[in-house]
Amino acid sequence: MSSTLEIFIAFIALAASGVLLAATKVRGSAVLLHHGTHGRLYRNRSLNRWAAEAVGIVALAIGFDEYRRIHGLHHGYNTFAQPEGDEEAAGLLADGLRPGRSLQDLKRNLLITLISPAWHARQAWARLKANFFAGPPLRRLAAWGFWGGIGTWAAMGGWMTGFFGAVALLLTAGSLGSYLELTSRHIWNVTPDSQGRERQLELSHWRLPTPSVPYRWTPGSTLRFIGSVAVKALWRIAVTPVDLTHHAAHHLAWDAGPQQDRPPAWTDAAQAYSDRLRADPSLHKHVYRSLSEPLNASFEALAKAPPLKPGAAPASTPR
Amino acid sequence: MNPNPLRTRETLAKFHKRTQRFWTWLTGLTHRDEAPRPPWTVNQHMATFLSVATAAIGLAAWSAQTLYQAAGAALF
Repeated sequence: MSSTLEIFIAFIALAASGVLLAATKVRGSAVLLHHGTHGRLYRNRSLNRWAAEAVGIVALAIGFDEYRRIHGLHHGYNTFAQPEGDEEAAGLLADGLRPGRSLQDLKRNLLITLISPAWHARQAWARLKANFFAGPPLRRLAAWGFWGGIGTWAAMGGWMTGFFGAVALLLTAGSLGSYLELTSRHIWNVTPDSQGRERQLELSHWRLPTPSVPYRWTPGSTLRFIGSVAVKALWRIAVTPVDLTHHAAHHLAWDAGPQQDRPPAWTDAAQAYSDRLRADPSLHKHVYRSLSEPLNASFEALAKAPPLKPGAAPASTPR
Repeated sequence: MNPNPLRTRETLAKFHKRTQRFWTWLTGLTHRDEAPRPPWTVNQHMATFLSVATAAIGLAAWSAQTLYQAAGAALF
Protein backbone atom coordinates (compact mmCIF):
# COMPACT_ATOMS: atom_id res chain seq x y z
CA MET A 1 0.00 0.00 0.00
CA SER A 2 1.27 3.44 -0.87
CA SER A 3 2.35 5.69 1.94
CA THR A 4 0.82 9.13 2.42
CA LEU A 5 4.12 10.69 1.36
CA GLU A 6 4.16 8.65 -1.84
CA ILE A 7 0.60 9.74 -2.67
CA PHE A 8 1.51 13.36 -2.01
CA ILE A 9 4.57 13.06 -4.27
CA ALA A 10 2.41 11.37 -6.92
CA PHE A 11 -0.02 14.33 -6.92
CA ILE A 12 2.85 16.78 -7.32
CA ALA A 13 4.32 14.59 -10.09
CA LEU A 14 0.96 14.44 -11.84
CA ALA A 15 0.69 18.24 -11.85
CA ALA A 16 4.30 18.63 -13.03
CA SER A 17 3.82 16.05 -15.77
CA GLY A 18 0.65 17.88 -16.89
CA VAL A 19 2.71 21.04 -17.41
CA LEU A 20 5.44 19.11 -19.23
CA LEU A 21 2.90 17.30 -21.43
CA ALA A 22 1.32 20.63 -22.35
CA ALA A 23 4.83 21.79 -23.27
CA THR A 24 5.31 18.61 -25.32
CA LYS A 25 2.17 19.31 -27.33
CA VAL A 26 2.83 23.02 -27.82
CA ARG A 27 6.52 22.57 -28.61
CA GLY A 28 5.68 19.63 -30.85
CA SER A 29 2.90 21.11 -32.93
CA ALA A 30 3.12 24.91 -32.68
CA VAL A 31 6.92 24.98 -32.99
CA LEU A 32 8.51 21.91 -34.57
CA LEU A 33 5.66 20.61 -36.74
CA HIS A 34 4.88 24.23 -37.64
CA HIS A 35 8.41 24.92 -38.85
CA GLY A 36 8.47 21.52 -40.53
CA THR A 37 5.47 22.45 -42.66
CA HIS A 38 7.39 25.58 -43.70
CA GLY A 39 10.27 23.27 -44.72
CA ARG A 40 12.52 24.83 -42.09
CA LEU A 41 13.64 21.86 -39.98
CA TYR A 42 16.11 20.24 -42.39
CA ARG A 43 17.18 21.04 -45.92
CA ASN A 44 16.55 17.44 -47.02
CA ARG A 45 12.81 17.40 -47.76
CA SER A 46 12.24 13.77 -46.76
CA LEU A 47 14.14 14.18 -43.52
CA ASN A 48 12.29 17.44 -42.85
CA ARG A 49 8.93 15.78 -43.39
CA TRP A 50 9.64 12.66 -41.35
CA ALA A 51 11.16 14.58 -38.46
CA ALA A 52 8.02 16.74 -38.36
CA GLU A 53 5.75 13.68 -38.64
CA ALA A 54 7.65 11.92 -35.83
CA VAL A 55 7.25 14.94 -33.58
CA GLY A 56 3.54 15.07 -34.47
CA ILE A 57 3.12 11.40 -33.56
CA VAL A 58 4.84 11.79 -30.18
CA ALA A 59 2.77 14.91 -29.39
CA LEU A 60 -0.42 13.33 -30.80
CA ALA A 61 -0.86 16.35 -33.05
CA ILE A 62 -2.49 16.47 -36.48
CA GLY A 63 -0.58 15.21 -39.49
CA PHE A 64 1.90 17.11 -41.65
CA ASP A 65 -0.36 17.40 -44.72
CA GLU A 66 -3.36 18.66 -42.78
CA TYR A 67 -1.28 21.12 -40.79
CA ARG A 68 0.33 22.45 -43.96
CA ARG A 69 -3.07 22.87 -45.63
CA ILE A 70 -4.58 24.74 -42.70
CA HIS A 71 -1.47 26.75 -41.99
CA GLY A 72 -1.05 27.70 -45.65
CA LEU A 73 -4.54 29.18 -45.60
CA HIS A 74 -3.72 30.94 -42.34
CA HIS A 75 -0.64 32.56 -43.90
CA GLY A 76 -2.33 33.19 -47.19
CA TYR A 77 -4.85 35.76 -46.00
CA ASN A 78 -3.80 39.35 -46.39
CA THR A 79 -6.22 40.51 -43.78
CA PHE A 80 -5.31 38.45 -40.83
CA ALA A 81 -7.33 35.42 -39.73
CA GLN A 82 -10.38 35.74 -41.93
CA PRO A 83 -13.00 33.27 -40.78
CA GLU A 84 -14.07 32.58 -44.35
CA GLY A 85 -10.88 30.69 -45.06
CA ASP A 86 -8.64 30.61 -42.04
CA GLU A 87 -9.44 27.47 -40.10
CA GLU A 88 -7.16 28.52 -37.26
CA ALA A 89 -9.58 31.39 -36.62
CA ALA A 90 -12.59 29.25 -37.45
CA GLY A 91 -11.77 26.86 -34.61
CA LEU A 92 -12.07 29.72 -32.15
CA LEU A 93 -15.22 31.01 -33.81
CA ALA A 94 -16.80 27.58 -33.61
CA ASP A 95 -16.05 27.57 -29.89
CA GLY A 96 -17.95 30.83 -29.44
CA LEU A 97 -15.09 33.37 -29.56
CA ARG A 98 -17.02 35.50 -32.02
CA PRO A 99 -16.75 39.19 -32.87
CA GLY A 100 -19.31 41.47 -31.32
CA ARG A 101 -19.68 39.62 -28.03
CA SER A 102 -18.91 41.49 -24.83
CA LEU A 103 -15.51 41.14 -23.18
CA GLN A 104 -17.06 39.41 -20.20
CA ASP A 105 -18.91 36.97 -22.45
CA LEU A 106 -15.72 36.12 -24.31
CA LYS A 107 -13.77 35.48 -21.10
CA ARG A 108 -16.58 33.34 -19.71
CA ASN A 109 -16.72 31.48 -22.99
CA LEU A 110 -12.99 30.72 -22.86
CA LEU A 111 -13.23 29.41 -19.31
CA ILE A 112 -16.25 27.25 -20.08
CA THR A 113 -14.54 25.88 -23.19
CA LEU A 114 -11.39 24.92 -21.31
CA ILE A 115 -13.22 23.06 -18.55
CA SER A 116 -15.85 21.48 -20.77
CA PRO A 117 -15.60 17.65 -20.87
CA ALA A 118 -17.37 17.66 -24.26
CA TRP A 119 -14.76 20.04 -25.73
CA HIS A 120 -11.91 17.92 -24.35
CA ALA A 121 -13.55 14.77 -25.72
CA ARG A 122 -13.90 16.34 -29.19
CA GLN A 123 -10.30 17.55 -29.17
CA ALA A 124 -9.02 14.18 -27.94
CA TRP A 125 -10.99 12.23 -30.51
CA ALA A 126 -9.84 14.51 -33.32
CA ARG A 127 -6.21 14.07 -32.30
CA LEU A 128 -6.51 10.30 -31.92
CA LYS A 129 -8.32 10.02 -35.26
CA ALA A 130 -5.68 12.15 -36.99
CA ASN A 131 -2.94 9.84 -35.75
CA PHE A 132 -4.47 6.37 -35.88
CA PHE A 133 -7.28 6.46 -38.43
CA ALA A 134 -6.38 9.16 -40.96
CA GLY A 135 -3.47 10.39 -43.00
CA PRO A 136 -0.94 8.51 -45.14
CA PRO A 137 -0.71 4.75 -44.37
CA LEU A 138 2.98 4.94 -43.47
CA ARG A 139 2.31 7.66 -40.89
CA ARG A 140 -0.59 5.67 -39.45
CA LEU A 141 1.68 2.64 -39.23
CA ALA A 142 4.35 4.70 -37.46
CA ALA A 143 1.76 6.04 -34.99
CA TRP A 144 0.43 2.55 -34.24
CA GLY A 145 4.00 1.25 -33.96
CA PHE A 146 5.16 3.98 -31.57
CA TRP A 147 2.17 4.13 -29.24
CA GLY A 148 1.38 0.43 -29.66
CA GLY A 149 4.99 -0.42 -28.77
CA ILE A 150 4.92 1.68 -25.63
CA GLY A 151 1.52 0.24 -24.73
CA THR A 152 2.74 -3.34 -25.18
CA TRP A 153 5.84 -2.62 -23.12
CA ALA A 154 3.64 -1.07 -20.41
CA ALA A 155 1.26 -4.05 -20.47
CA MET A 156 4.14 -6.49 -20.04
CA GLY A 157 5.30 -4.57 -16.94
CA GLY A 158 1.81 -4.20 -15.49
CA TRP A 159 1.76 -0.46 -16.22
CA MET A 160 -1.35 -0.20 -18.37
CA THR A 161 -3.12 2.15 -15.95
CA GLY A 162 -0.11 4.43 -15.96
CA PHE A 163 0.09 4.27 -19.76
CA PHE A 164 -3.56 5.22 -20.27
CA GLY A 165 -3.25 7.91 -17.59
CA ALA A 166 -0.26 9.43 -19.39
CA VAL A 167 -2.05 9.38 -22.76
CA ALA A 168 -5.18 10.94 -21.22
CA LEU A 169 -3.06 13.66 -19.62
CA LEU A 170 -1.20 14.29 -22.89
CA LEU A 171 -4.54 14.76 -24.63
CA THR A 172 -6.07 16.96 -21.93
CA ALA A 173 -3.12 19.11 -20.89
CA GLY A 174 -1.92 19.28 -24.49
CA SER A 175 -5.25 20.64 -25.70
CA LEU A 176 -5.29 23.21 -22.88
CA GLY A 177 -1.75 24.40 -23.63
CA SER A 178 -2.36 24.57 -27.37
CA TYR A 179 -5.62 26.46 -26.99
CA LEU A 180 -4.09 29.06 -24.68
CA GLU A 181 -1.12 29.31 -27.01
CA LEU A 182 -3.39 29.79 -30.00
CA THR A 183 -5.63 32.31 -28.25
CA SER A 184 -2.78 34.47 -27.00
CA ARG A 185 -0.48 34.11 -30.02
CA HIS A 186 -2.34 36.48 -32.26
CA ILE A 187 -4.54 39.42 -31.70
CA TRP A 188 -7.44 37.77 -33.46
CA ASN A 189 -8.47 40.36 -35.93
CA VAL A 190 -11.20 38.42 -37.56
CA THR A 191 -13.14 41.05 -39.43
CA PRO A 192 -12.81 40.96 -43.21
CA ASP A 193 -11.95 44.69 -43.31
CA SER A 194 -9.12 44.44 -40.79
CA GLN A 195 -5.99 46.47 -41.36
CA GLY A 196 -3.61 43.70 -42.32
CA ARG A 197 -0.33 42.32 -41.08
CA GLU A 198 1.25 45.58 -39.99
CA ARG A 199 -1.57 46.08 -37.54
CA GLN A 200 -1.12 42.51 -36.37
CA LEU A 201 2.61 43.06 -35.91
CA GLU A 202 2.04 46.27 -34.02
CA LEU A 203 -0.35 44.58 -31.63
CA SER A 204 1.57 41.43 -30.90
CA HIS A 205 5.17 42.54 -30.70
CA TRP A 206 5.90 40.72 -27.55
CA ARG A 207 4.02 38.39 -25.32
CA LEU A 208 6.33 37.06 -22.66
CA PRO A 209 4.99 38.26 -19.34
CA THR A 210 7.53 40.02 -17.16
CA PRO A 211 7.56 39.17 -13.44
CA SER A 212 6.48 41.88 -11.05
CA VAL A 213 9.64 43.10 -9.37
CA PRO A 214 8.82 45.13 -6.23
CA TYR A 215 10.20 48.63 -5.67
CA ARG A 216 10.77 47.79 -2.00
CA TRP A 217 11.65 44.32 -0.79
CA THR A 218 9.46 43.45 2.18
CA PRO A 219 8.38 39.93 3.24
CA GLY A 220 5.00 40.48 1.55
CA SER A 221 6.38 41.86 -1.69
CA THR A 222 9.03 39.11 -1.80
CA LEU A 223 6.32 36.45 -1.50
CA ARG A 224 4.32 38.14 -4.30
CA PHE A 225 7.47 38.22 -6.44
CA ILE A 226 8.12 34.50 -5.87
CA GLY A 227 4.50 33.70 -6.75
CA SER A 228 4.67 35.85 -9.87
CA VAL A 229 7.89 34.14 -11.01
CA ALA A 230 6.43 30.66 -10.35
CA VAL A 231 3.21 31.30 -12.30
CA LYS A 232 5.02 32.94 -15.20
CA ALA A 233 7.60 30.16 -15.35
CA LEU A 234 4.75 27.62 -15.62
CA TRP A 235 3.19 29.67 -18.42
CA ARG A 236 6.56 29.98 -20.14
CA ILE A 237 7.04 26.19 -20.03
CA ALA A 238 3.53 25.11 -20.98
CA VAL A 239 2.22 27.83 -23.29
CA THR A 240 5.12 29.79 -24.78
CA PRO A 241 7.93 27.24 -24.93
CA VAL A 242 10.17 28.55 -27.69
CA ASP A 243 10.17 31.05 -30.46
CA LEU A 244 6.60 32.09 -30.97
CA THR A 245 7.12 35.11 -28.80
CA HIS A 246 7.90 36.74 -32.07
CA HIS A 247 5.22 35.09 -34.10
CA ALA A 248 4.30 38.27 -35.92
CA ALA A 249 7.88 38.55 -37.20
CA HIS A 250 7.50 35.03 -38.52
CA HIS A 251 4.40 36.11 -40.46
CA LEU A 252 6.16 39.09 -41.98
CA ALA A 253 9.27 37.05 -42.76
CA TRP A 254 7.13 34.44 -44.47
CA ASP A 255 5.40 37.16 -46.49
CA ALA A 256 8.81 38.35 -47.66
CA GLY A 257 9.44 34.88 -49.12
CA PRO A 258 10.04 31.43 -47.68
CA GLN A 259 13.81 31.78 -47.89
CA GLN A 260 13.64 34.74 -45.54
CA ASP A 261 11.95 32.67 -42.89
CA ARG A 262 15.17 31.66 -41.15
CA PRO A 263 16.82 32.56 -38.85
CA PRO A 264 14.58 35.29 -37.30
CA ALA A 265 11.57 33.03 -36.84
CA TRP A 266 13.76 30.33 -35.36
CA THR A 267 15.60 32.36 -32.82
CA ASP A 268 14.53 32.15 -29.26
CA ALA A 269 13.44 35.56 -28.15
CA ALA A 270 16.36 36.57 -26.01
CA GLN A 271 19.19 36.93 -28.47
CA ALA A 272 18.31 39.94 -30.50
CA TYR A 273 15.30 41.66 -29.13
CA SER A 274 16.79 43.24 -26.02
CA ASP A 275 18.82 45.44 -28.34
CA ARG A 276 15.76 46.18 -30.41
CA LEU A 277 13.80 47.20 -27.35
CA ARG A 278 16.69 49.35 -26.14
CA ALA A 279 16.77 51.07 -29.50
CA ASP A 280 13.05 51.81 -29.40
CA PRO A 281 11.81 52.32 -25.83
CA SER A 282 8.24 52.83 -27.04
CA LEU A 283 8.08 49.12 -27.85
CA HIS A 284 7.76 48.33 -24.19
CA LYS A 285 4.13 49.38 -24.42
CA HIS A 286 3.59 46.10 -26.22
CA VAL A 287 5.25 43.99 -23.56
CA TYR A 288 2.77 42.11 -21.46
CA ARG A 289 3.08 42.22 -17.74
CA SER A 290 0.10 40.14 -16.75
CA LEU A 291 -0.72 36.69 -18.07
CA SER A 292 -4.22 37.80 -18.90
CA GLU A 293 -3.09 40.76 -21.03
CA PRO A 294 -2.50 38.85 -24.27
CA LEU A 295 -5.93 37.24 -23.89
CA ASN A 296 -7.55 40.54 -22.94
CA ALA A 297 -5.96 42.25 -25.94
CA SER A 298 -7.37 39.57 -28.26
CA PHE A 299 -10.79 39.72 -26.68
CA GLU A 300 -10.96 43.52 -26.66
CA ALA A 301 -10.26 43.55 -30.39
CA LEU A 302 -12.86 40.84 -30.88
CA ALA A 303 -15.49 42.61 -28.76
CA LYS A 304 -15.12 45.84 -30.78
CA ALA A 305 -15.52 44.04 -34.10
CA PRO A 306 -18.98 43.89 -35.74
CA PRO A 307 -20.79 40.56 -35.50
CA LEU A 308 -20.23 38.10 -38.33
CA LYS A 309 -22.92 37.29 -40.84
CA PRO A 310 -24.61 33.94 -40.14
CA GLY A 311 -22.79 31.03 -41.76
CA ALA A 312 -19.55 32.97 -42.29
CA ALA A 313 -17.34 30.54 -40.41
CA PRO A 314 -16.25 27.23 -42.00
CA ALA A 315 -15.92 23.97 -40.09
CA SER A 316 -12.93 23.95 -37.78
CA THR A 317 -10.12 21.45 -37.48
CA PRO A 318 -8.68 20.88 -33.99
CA ARG A 319 -4.93 21.33 -33.76
CA MET B 1 1.25 51.87 -19.24
CA ASN B 2 3.30 48.79 -18.45
CA PRO B 3 6.51 49.18 -16.49
CA ASN B 4 9.51 49.14 -18.75
CA PRO B 5 10.60 45.49 -19.02
CA LEU B 6 14.20 46.49 -19.67
CA ARG B 7 14.27 48.25 -16.31
CA THR B 8 12.78 45.14 -14.74
CA ARG B 9 15.44 43.02 -16.41
CA GLU B 10 18.20 45.29 -15.10
CA THR B 11 16.76 44.87 -11.60
CA LEU B 12 16.80 41.09 -12.01
CA ALA B 13 20.43 41.39 -13.16
CA LYS B 14 21.33 42.26 -9.58
CA PHE B 15 20.58 38.69 -8.50
CA HIS B 16 23.34 36.08 -8.44
CA LYS B 17 25.08 35.56 -11.78
CA ARG B 18 24.17 31.86 -11.82
CA THR B 19 20.49 32.80 -11.95
CA GLN B 20 20.87 35.06 -14.99
CA ARG B 21 20.22 32.39 -17.58
CA PHE B 22 16.91 31.66 -15.86
CA TRP B 23 15.86 35.34 -15.90
CA THR B 24 16.84 35.64 -19.54
CA TRP B 25 14.79 32.56 -20.39
CA LEU B 26 11.80 33.77 -18.37
CA THR B 27 11.67 37.35 -19.61
CA GLY B 28 13.09 36.79 -23.08
CA LEU B 29 15.47 39.68 -22.48
CA THR B 30 19.19 39.82 -21.95
CA HIS B 31 20.50 42.33 -19.44
CA ARG B 32 22.78 45.17 -20.42
CA ASP B 33 26.09 43.34 -19.89
CA GLU B 34 24.95 39.92 -21.07
CA ALA B 35 26.06 38.60 -24.43
CA PRO B 36 23.22 37.51 -26.74
CA ARG B 37 22.67 33.79 -26.61
CA PRO B 38 23.30 31.88 -29.83
CA PRO B 39 20.08 30.49 -31.31
CA TRP B 40 19.52 26.81 -30.79
CA THR B 41 20.03 24.47 -33.70
CA VAL B 42 17.16 22.35 -34.96
CA ASN B 43 18.83 19.29 -33.42
CA GLN B 44 18.93 20.98 -30.03
CA HIS B 45 15.22 21.76 -30.32
CA MET B 46 14.51 18.15 -31.31
CA ALA B 47 16.61 16.73 -28.46
CA THR B 48 14.88 19.00 -25.94
CA PHE B 49 11.48 18.01 -27.27
CA LEU B 50 12.26 14.30 -26.97
CA SER B 51 13.76 14.69 -23.49
CA VAL B 52 10.77 16.66 -22.20
CA ALA B 53 8.31 14.22 -23.82
CA THR B 54 10.08 11.19 -22.34
CA ALA B 55 10.30 12.71 -18.87
CA ALA B 56 6.68 13.88 -19.00
CA ILE B 57 5.24 10.56 -20.18
CA GLY B 58 7.31 8.61 -17.62
CA LEU B 59 6.35 10.92 -14.76
CA ALA B 60 2.68 10.91 -15.77
CA ALA B 61 2.62 7.11 -16.04
CA TRP B 62 4.23 6.64 -12.61
CA SER B 63 1.98 9.15 -10.87
CA ALA B 64 -1.22 7.86 -12.53
CA GLN B 65 -0.32 4.27 -11.63
CA THR B 66 0.55 5.17 -8.05
CA LEU B 67 -2.64 7.19 -7.51
CA TYR B 68 -4.80 4.49 -9.10
CA GLN B 69 -3.30 1.81 -6.87
CA ALA B 70 -3.69 4.02 -3.81
CA ALA B 71 -7.34 4.69 -4.69
CA GLY B 72 -7.93 0.97 -5.23
CA ALA B 73 -6.35 0.12 -1.88
CA ALA B 74 -8.41 2.76 -0.10
CA LEU B 75 -11.70 1.66 -1.67
CA PHE B 76 -11.33 -2.10 -1.52
